[in-house]
Amino acid sequence: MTTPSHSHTQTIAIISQKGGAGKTTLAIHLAAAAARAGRVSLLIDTDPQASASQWAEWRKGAPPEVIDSAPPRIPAKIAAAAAQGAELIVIDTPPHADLAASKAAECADLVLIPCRPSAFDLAAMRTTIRLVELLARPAFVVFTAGPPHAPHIYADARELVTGFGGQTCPIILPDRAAYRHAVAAGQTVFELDPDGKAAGEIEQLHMWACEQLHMSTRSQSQAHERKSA
Amino acid sequence: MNRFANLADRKPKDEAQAAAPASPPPIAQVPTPPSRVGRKAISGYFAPELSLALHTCARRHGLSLQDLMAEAFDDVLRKYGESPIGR
Repeated sequence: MTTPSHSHTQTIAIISQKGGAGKTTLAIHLAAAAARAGRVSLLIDTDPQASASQWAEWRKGAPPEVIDSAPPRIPAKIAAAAAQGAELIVIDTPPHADLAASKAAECADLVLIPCRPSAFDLAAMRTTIRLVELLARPAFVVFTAGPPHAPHIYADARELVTGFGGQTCPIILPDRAAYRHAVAAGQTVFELDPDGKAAGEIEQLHMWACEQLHMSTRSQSQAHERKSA
Repeated sequence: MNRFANLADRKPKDEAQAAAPASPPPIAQVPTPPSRVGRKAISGYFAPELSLALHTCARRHGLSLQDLMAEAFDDVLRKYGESPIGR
């Protein structure tokens, strides 16, 4: 088994067999939240549709930085990026891509599986959970793109995931128009509406992910001080 | 802010192209046969004898080659202790 951790670099893989669960949106925003907290973050886009790369082009190089990668080259790119000072690496993967998903999961310290709280998506997510089980990676299903106020739906979905032997992330990212508006404009929800609900939820998810990775959740201003010292 | 640009496979477009209007391009409409929507191909290279035997077997049992392959894959999943998918 590949050992993921490169001492100071943590890697999060976003995988899901089903399209439309918001993998790229989640990947972009996690990397952006880390950059906003002062970390050197990098998004590795393994999707041949290159949505994240397209988004990065629209924003003309504003952080987080996005690079592409063919799935077999993911481990080498992570190692190189770690050597170049990356602190958080997020890997976005295409749907229905066993190779990219397993390569990304193999290299990851944390795997997030975005999933809509719908029957079709939950059924497909079972396959993804089995994949990460095989690779023995800490993995959590993140409910995305569902209705904002539907506690019963999320409770049922959680129960189902637990029944499959999976774990769920306590933070839910419901469907918010802010994601569509932000991404289409080459922005993040932090730039579009920093005080909005979407920004708040992403920030909570980022903090939660940092806890899972045993990374400090404080702003990284100290890291900058260290560098300048 | 191009700390990791050296790691990209796809090199950034030159300035002229980058200056083009930054608007989402129209999504290309690639016609997909209905039978392939939401499905993916699994293929391999085998001896012509095996190919012929599979086609013959499928024909003899009134199945399509795809049906036969689906059955075979489920059998092999069971053999290795995995759950069959069956579609």
